[in-house]
Amino acid sequence: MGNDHRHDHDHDSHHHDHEHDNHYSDMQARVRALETLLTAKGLIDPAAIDAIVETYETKIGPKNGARVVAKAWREPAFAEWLEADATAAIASLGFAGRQGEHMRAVFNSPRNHNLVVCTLCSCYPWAVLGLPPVWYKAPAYRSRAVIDPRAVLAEFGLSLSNDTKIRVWDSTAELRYLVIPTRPAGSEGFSEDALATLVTRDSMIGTGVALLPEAR
Amino acid sequence: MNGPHDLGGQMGFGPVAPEVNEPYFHAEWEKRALGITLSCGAFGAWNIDESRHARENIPPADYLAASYYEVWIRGIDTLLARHGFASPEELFSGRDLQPGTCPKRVLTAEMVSGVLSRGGPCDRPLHSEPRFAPGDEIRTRNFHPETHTRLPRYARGKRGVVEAVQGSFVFPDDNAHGKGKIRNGSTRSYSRPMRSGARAPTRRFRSRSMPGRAILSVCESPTSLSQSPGLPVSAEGDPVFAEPWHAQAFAITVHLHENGLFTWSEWAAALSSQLHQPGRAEDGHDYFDGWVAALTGLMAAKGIADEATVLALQQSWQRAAEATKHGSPILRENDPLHLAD
Repeated sequence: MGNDHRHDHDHDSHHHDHEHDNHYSDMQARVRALETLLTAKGLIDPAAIDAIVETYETKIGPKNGARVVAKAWREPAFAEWLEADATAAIASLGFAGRQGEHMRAVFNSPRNHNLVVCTLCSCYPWAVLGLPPVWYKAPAYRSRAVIDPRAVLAEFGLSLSNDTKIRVWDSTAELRYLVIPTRPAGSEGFSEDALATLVTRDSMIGTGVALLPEAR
Repeated sequence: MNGPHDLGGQMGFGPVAPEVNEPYFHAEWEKRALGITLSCGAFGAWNIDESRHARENIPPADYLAASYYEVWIRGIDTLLARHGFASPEELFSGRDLQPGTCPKRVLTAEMVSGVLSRGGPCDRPLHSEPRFAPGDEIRTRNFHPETHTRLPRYARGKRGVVEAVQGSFVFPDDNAHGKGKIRNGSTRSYSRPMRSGARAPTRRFRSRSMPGRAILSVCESPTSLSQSPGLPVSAEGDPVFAEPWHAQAFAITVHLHENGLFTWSEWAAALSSQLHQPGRAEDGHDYFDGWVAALTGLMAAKGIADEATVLALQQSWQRAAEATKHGSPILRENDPLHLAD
């Protein structure tokens, strides 16, 4: 799967209704034809597609996961609940549903680092992280995360000490994993909102760590 | 299957190239591809395991050359054709040439938030103890199925220790092929939840969200069967089945009705006559006995099969069930008197 999106933007990526360019790429044409056909057959509602896209562009994304992490950092009882029954603890914050039906939270510590991958497809905790980035679904990451995680992390600019054990979670068909990064030094006394701004998407996949307060 | 998707442990794809401030979508068509994939999933015609398997079957060179949304679209093409929603010719041309399968539901804009927030839980009740417990030493299987599996090649034939029992879920290796059973058990995934109001094989279509369009015209005929006299229905008007065979009987009837074997009024008359036979239970618990009798009667009246043939087939299935070892699938070949037909 090409990791080459960056070099291959469709011309209309920012202008839905602005089609002065009369060239369609193969996939633009393919998907347009499919949507036209299925709409003609009464099988899909284009407005439903708009609603799905809007949901994942504005409502469901890493900010959901960041709330979970920030709460776990501040409230030991919530962290315990998250460890024992992540699905219920996360649902209590209103995050549930598609690709987050069954959750497990895995906690980083200075000696243990967790990394999530789906070698077989692109399983990803949508309910807390939104849609997965391209690299997560691409062969380079999926192939090597399970055999050379330390080198993969280095490609994200993350160099862990050799004393830190890396544990890789290859997603099953049903369970979605959320990494709870370690709370950064200097964040003592922060509110939940302030803590949430330190939690990056990558820190919840395990390809990054939480931001230091001064780096925000 | 050992397909191109089973990437764990392979080499040669180069370094991971994370993109700084990556947008959610890189092209307009990716948004439509996401929406089409989820909308088609809402038909209820296949499960997520089957759709994963459709993607795994993309030829390796194509799979590895495609972006992930392209993989999804190729998978959707396969599924739409396999389930009769669109023919390969229609998918190729983009033109609507013939009527296709009727979905259980069409996702409309106002259904989106409910559908996404419900998701598709895949846990199933388990009525037996898990075979392995934390601390047990195990060795994974070394096998090469041509069908779907979630055991990747790099993890086959490996020794390990069970750390946790995460719950009981439908077994994807079977579920991908329409044989969803509880993992590690022989109970059909289906038998208990049905009692509390399982989805009907067909649903009423609501076209109100798409005014002014000739929508779902081919799909409207099954509606009438949901209004069969006495049929238990949910608040939304969907049939409720207490047993899987009730749903099967309903689906067969819908299918024959769709194919024009009998009209609505013929059906209503046949069913009504059966329901008013002396000896029917007052609480309606034998409602579907009457349903099947009405269906059998109509099949005989229309020359599809006489009642003796249906009865002989029923007895053959009963003998087959008796002769099948507990936990094994019941096949009619197991009937000791069965002759290949």
